[in-house]
Amino acid sequence: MAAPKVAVVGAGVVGLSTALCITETCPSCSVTVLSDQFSPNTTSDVAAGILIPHTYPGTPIHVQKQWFKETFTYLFAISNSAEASEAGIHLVSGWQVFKNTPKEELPFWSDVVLGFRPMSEAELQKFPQHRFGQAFATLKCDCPPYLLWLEKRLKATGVQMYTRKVADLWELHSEYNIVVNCAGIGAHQLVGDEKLFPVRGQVLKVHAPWVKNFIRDGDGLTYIYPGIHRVTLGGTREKEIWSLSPDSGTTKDIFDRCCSLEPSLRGAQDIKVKVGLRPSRWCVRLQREVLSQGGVKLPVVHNYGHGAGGFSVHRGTAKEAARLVGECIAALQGSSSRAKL
Amino acid sequence: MRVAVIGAGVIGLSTALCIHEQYHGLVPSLEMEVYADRCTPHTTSDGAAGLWQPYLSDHGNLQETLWNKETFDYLLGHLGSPAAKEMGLFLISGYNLFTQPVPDPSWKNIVLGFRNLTPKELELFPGYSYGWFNTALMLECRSYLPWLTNKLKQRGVKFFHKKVESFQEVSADGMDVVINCTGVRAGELQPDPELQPGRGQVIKVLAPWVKHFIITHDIESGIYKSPYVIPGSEFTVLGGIYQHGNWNEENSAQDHKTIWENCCRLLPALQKAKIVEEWSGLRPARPWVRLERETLRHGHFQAEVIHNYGHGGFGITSHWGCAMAAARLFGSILQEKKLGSPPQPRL
Repeated sequence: MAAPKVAVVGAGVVGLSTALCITETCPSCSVTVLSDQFSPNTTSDVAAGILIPHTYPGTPIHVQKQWFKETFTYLFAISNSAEASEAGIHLVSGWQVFKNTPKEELPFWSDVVLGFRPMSEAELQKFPQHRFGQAFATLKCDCPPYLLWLEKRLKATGVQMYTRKVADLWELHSEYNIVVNCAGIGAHQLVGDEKLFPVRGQVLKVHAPWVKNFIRDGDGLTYIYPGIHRVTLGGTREKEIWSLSPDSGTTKDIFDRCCSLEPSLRGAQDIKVKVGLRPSRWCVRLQREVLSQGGVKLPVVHNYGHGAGGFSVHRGTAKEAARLVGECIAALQGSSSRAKL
Repeated sequence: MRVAVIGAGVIGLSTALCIHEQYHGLVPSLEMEVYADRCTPHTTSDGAAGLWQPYLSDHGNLQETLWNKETFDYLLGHLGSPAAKEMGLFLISGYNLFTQPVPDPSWKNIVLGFRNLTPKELELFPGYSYGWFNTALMLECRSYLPWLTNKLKQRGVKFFHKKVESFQEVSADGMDVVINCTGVRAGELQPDPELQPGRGQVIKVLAPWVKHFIITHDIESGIYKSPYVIPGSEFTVLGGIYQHGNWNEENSAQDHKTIWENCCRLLPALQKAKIVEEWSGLRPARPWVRLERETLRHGHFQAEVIHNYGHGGFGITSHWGCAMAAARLFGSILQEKKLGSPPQPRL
């Protein structure tokens, strides 16, 4: 196959990074990104983009750790380079605090982030309601900058991007040889995946440039993540709620919870409210599938269902998806050469 | 009792406030005046980034370490208060980098979470093989000095924008106590060969992605001669200049080049940062801080002077501990005046 035509559906962090990985592992591929939304209107744009993994119950821990490590290493190199500010990648340190000592004091990712250690008594004094904590430094991907940087790199390698609502993957079978499904929450409708469900998250993005450290409550519900221009205050985890409209009661609740962790936030200005639907799943769906109708086959690689951990594992899953695309190409070449015999 | 404070940098204003807070209730007619030829935002304090961090070694000046600790604890206590933002006070974490292992600093237990850097963290800083990470405080004087000024004015303290040419000039006005917080130019009021300018230059840039301070050290060259990057609430300060004995307050093109090249090598992303301002200032350097009393006599007049100057590059770091020490000296003056003042003759 001369130049396999690959369509990547979805232009969030997973779609764009997957497209980029495909161009890296398969330079002869012609890659096109199709999405009904691009930055700044993707789910990724709502997220803070902090690299603190979410645990998927259905994926082996060593696999999740590998994905996280690959992602961290990749972003670490960018944060250290002249491109860091354009790519929106920056180092941020802070604390994860717990009201009650967690069962697992050492999360699987503790040796991937930097300088992970328990908080000292003096540090905990800043959080009178919390009894235990962990201090570390990690990376943050600010969006839109990171997505725009990925788009720029894709365009530089000749990748085309089109705004298009794909209603059914099969509709692409005549134009493309392989389809990569990075539709995130859209996969619920696109491929009818009932196992995929939204976990609604509302966040506030505020102007509080004196906040230099992140603070996260170990329950995952309250967090403060300083970005380049804004601080993300969160949040909520509402299962099976599809509404994208901000709720004002929730806004006040988030603000109050964050102010109790960091009182100086009372002086925050210009509060913007955003809502995103985490594309949640028991495990990330990262696998091949072959769709066929009337003897015609369409190889598909699924890469969706990253839930609350998209940024933390995006590069690792993108590389795996690119590898699966490579397998699809090999399979297509195998069958086409067999057809010639 | 009339008190004149000379100098309106961080030392002058905090000393004024400390004394006024402690003694205004005790001394019925405490009248305080602040004299300064330069006020915020034109003081030496205003140019500093505002990071609380002492020098690496206190050279046995245990007292300075105590002042530093008092200051840190005082500021830490204010962190959760609504005033913090107005004061320009916030927590900040960061890195101190070395090319060789060094002993832990005197302040390791004052700051929060002090630890050595891991090998992976050192990968962020090629050329540096050893370092520390800790959480400290920023106190931005362009907010703190106006905050102090407001508090003083609310208490009825009067401000005079003028250059005081001599102690006599101020004490002739019937001032009982003069607090000398004149910083690098204290020698103009009373010669002090120990006091020298430690000239510094900084470039202020827009680099909001930088969330940590990064201070490099070159043990051979000495303090502040190695690049540093300190992110503030609005701008990031790039520096690394210390010229002992240089009184020039003009920006130097050579120093600009040194700072820019060194800081961009340290943090390549800074190449894209927009330069907003450049500033030079004179650290009031002295082998140790002059914090002591002196009785000045001329003719019939006598004035008690409390000297509080010579804080070099750690004025913000030590200011409150020094203000408290100055207040104690003020207290001892009050004691003497009570004990020493003769009873009124009966007419």
